[in-house]
Amino acid sequence: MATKVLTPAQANLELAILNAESEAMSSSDFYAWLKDLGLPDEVAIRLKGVAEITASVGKRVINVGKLILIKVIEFVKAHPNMAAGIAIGAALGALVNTVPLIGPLLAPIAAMLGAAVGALAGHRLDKATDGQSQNTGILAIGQDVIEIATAFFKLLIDIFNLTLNGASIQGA
Amino acid sequence: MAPKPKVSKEQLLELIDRLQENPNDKLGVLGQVGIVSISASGAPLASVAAIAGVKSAFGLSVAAQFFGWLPAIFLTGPPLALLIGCASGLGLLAYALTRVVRGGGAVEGQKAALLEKYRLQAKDIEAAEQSSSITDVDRTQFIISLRELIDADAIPVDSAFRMIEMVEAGRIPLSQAMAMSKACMTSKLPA
Repeated sequence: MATKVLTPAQANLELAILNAESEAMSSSDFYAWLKDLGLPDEVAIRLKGVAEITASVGKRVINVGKLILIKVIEFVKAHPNMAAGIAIGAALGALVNTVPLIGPLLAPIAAMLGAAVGALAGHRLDKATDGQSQNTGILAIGQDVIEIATAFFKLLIDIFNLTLNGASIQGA
Repeated sequence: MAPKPKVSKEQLLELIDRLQENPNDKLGVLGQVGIVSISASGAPLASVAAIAGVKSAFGLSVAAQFFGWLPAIFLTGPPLALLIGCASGLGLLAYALTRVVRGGGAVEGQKAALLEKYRLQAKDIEAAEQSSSITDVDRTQFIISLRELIDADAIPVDSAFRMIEMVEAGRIPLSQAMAMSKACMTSKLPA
């Protein structure tokens, strides 16, 4: 698993490329993908709503929601032995915890998917980073899952955090 | 997680070298790595044919303005003058700019002047886009101009490859791609 450190300009370039790539995908494509993952209709519809989240950066409009959904679907496909609902919950939980600008928009959907466990695990990770004591128990599993998701989404998280400062977010 | 690059750095540099040597075969060269040009869907191909004879081709395209850079490049000293023999057009300009900005081969004023000229060229390209007069020559020259940026690791290989895909597909405007490439020349890692 390769990781790289991006300059702001490289992050901006990557964001533009991802945005251009995402424009080929329609909302109905996402819905079909999500249904293919075996998700119930109501969950697929709520997740499809994420595709409508956009960010205005300067003169550009970035399809942030589509980028997130594409990466979430990649994450689910990369972890075939993880239940889709848990994987998506962990993925959204990782983004809620690490991208402040988008977190509030994703939080209700993540909570609906049962990502509260993921959010708590994220909180525990924050505590561990700060050197505070943590509880042990069932949440440790959620902690592992969100660690996996955070590692997978690191590049996207870095790109968002480097480029979306000052952006205005709309949608969902 | 960083995506696995579709091509290696060596493969991409070789591809650009081949494109520079055989601009007439752009569709073939790019097609081998799965890049489909919008020129393949009906835009005039005739404009591609002349890149090898850069000066005459530039007389026909927006890229003609890039020759306005030559005096500025010669001012930057003997090393850059040597570079001119092995590069051409926008490729030459980006090559020189990359060496100047990243190599520290010029004083700050010269760097600023080159960057300003690059910015103005991007504006000209933007104007050409708005009047729909961008040619395939311009896109090809842009791809060639990325060579030194890729070689200097100013642009990640995967990003460069995908940017070429998007520019060729017409999904990223050439002016925007130029502006972002220029920013990559000068940006530094966040503290």
